[in-house]
Amino acid sequence: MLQVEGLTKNFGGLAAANAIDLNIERGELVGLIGPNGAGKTTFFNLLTGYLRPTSGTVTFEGENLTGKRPHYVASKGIVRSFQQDNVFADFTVLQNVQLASHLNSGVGFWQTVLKTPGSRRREEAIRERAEEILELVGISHLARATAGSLPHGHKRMLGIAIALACRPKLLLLDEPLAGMNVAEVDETIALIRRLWESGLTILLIEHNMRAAMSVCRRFHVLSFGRKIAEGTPDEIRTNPEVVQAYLGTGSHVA
Amino acid sequence: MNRRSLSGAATASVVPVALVLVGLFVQGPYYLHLFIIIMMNVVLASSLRLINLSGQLSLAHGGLVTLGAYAAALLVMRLGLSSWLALLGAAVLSGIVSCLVGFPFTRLKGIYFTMVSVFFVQIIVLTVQQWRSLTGGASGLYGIPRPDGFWGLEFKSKTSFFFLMLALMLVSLGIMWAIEHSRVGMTFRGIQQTDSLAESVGINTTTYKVLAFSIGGFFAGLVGGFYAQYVSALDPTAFGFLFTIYILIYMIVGGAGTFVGPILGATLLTVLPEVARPLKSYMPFVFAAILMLIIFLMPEGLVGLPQRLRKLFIREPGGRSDVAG
Repeated sequence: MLQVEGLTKNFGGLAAANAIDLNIERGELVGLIGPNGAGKTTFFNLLTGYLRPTSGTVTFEGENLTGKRPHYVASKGIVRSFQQDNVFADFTVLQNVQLASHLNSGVGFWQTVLKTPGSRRREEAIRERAEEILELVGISHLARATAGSLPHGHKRMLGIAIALACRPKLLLLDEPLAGMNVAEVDETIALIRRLWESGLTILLIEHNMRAAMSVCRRFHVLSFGRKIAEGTPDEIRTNPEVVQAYLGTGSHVA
Repeated sequence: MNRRSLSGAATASVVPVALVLVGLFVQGPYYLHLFIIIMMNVVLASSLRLINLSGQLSLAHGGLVTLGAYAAALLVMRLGLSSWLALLGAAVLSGIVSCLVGFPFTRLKGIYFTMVSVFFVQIIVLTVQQWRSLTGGASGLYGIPRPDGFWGLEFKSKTSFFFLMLALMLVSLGIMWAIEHSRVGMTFRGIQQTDSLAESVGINTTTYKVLAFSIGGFFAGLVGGFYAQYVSALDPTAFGFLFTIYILIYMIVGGAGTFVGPILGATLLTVLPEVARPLKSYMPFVFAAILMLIIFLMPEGLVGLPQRLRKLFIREPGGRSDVAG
């Protein structure tokens, strides 16, 4: 489904991503892990067009998406969530998801400005689907709340709901569990598993190793912008390079 | 909710009716002229806000008004177009020029966008001044024909121009209202709040920013075209940088967050220099002072005044507390 070959991004002399190769098959739930500053978020930004790669290619369902703008990448089915809270703060939760249904709105400029019967029906359908998404994510009771006033955990959930509204084929989640309390972590993990079981392909960046290990069958490990390992949870846990990347070698720990 | 939208509709229909009465009964040319200028400024401040909805603070308005004014005049005088076609042509041309410069401009964000939009005004004004063979240069353009009459209506008296501008204002505000309350308007506001998220859900933010800028340019050109035919003389510096800043002040002082804000701001601040005649030469200073006071004390603009007063005098339990936001 997704083929990444030799993806490289240089900031000045620093290679934030260094010749990363990575493949994802349809229906997989893959983890992307690595110590802080390993280049995980940079990798997402390169994949979704927020950063232009120095070299390398991104191919999705046979189409070359290298260096395309984010909205185009999203229209092809790769949709991301953000690591920091990123919601339409002045809108209600429901409006957030309605606006995020942009790609499926299928309503032209004059149709929506003149509020033609067709566009009203379309908006009604979008609203119903937005409510379903909120139900699925488990924040439907907050539909009328202003997004900016939500606590952190709920904002993260809304971030996922926004991404789902785009009907992604490949969902990229950037540390969805960061800053969540224990109950929220369990809920979110259950949600990710449900989404995957319903057929969605997911690439998950996560710091919470235990949580990540509990859902992902396969991992890619980044360190200093390079991919140092790939494999099942067990292979990763016992890989000496991974252990060294996370714990450092004795001589470095002074 | 329903009661509120009903009362909103009632308020929205009172104002046009009152203005029609003004047009019918007010005879003094001075007051009619003042009302015409108010309505021009209302459209300009509202169209500036429409651009601002998409997260861009444009200071290109003076240039677009100048462009529309000269286009309307020259289309009639040089190409012999009918005055109504020329008026529409002025609006369309300003819209098209906004669209063309919009693509490079909107690549810049925040203050950088605002800065190039200022230069745009200077470029338009300088071009008009220098291109003497076409525009008459710095000495201005005179003898612009009045709009052609139709159905027995003639456009000579102040009253007739009052009604023409009233019609233009109501149609313009109606269109801007409809845009703001459509999915397009929602998309503009989404981009204003966080354009990175808007991009990630598949919104082409460049297209929408250029669209907002072009619609704003269209209405600025329309007002410019009207002005040319109304005053029938043009001075290339009439709508320069200071004029643009005034439009910005109307919007901010009234309140950029609501549809009514710029309408209120443009109205009050157009009247102010007239009632405070003795201060007229200090007006830029007075405007600056008002702007500062509003920004520091009431960032939501004058539209927030009733709510602030209510909060001040009536301590209602469970009242909204987010006014200062």
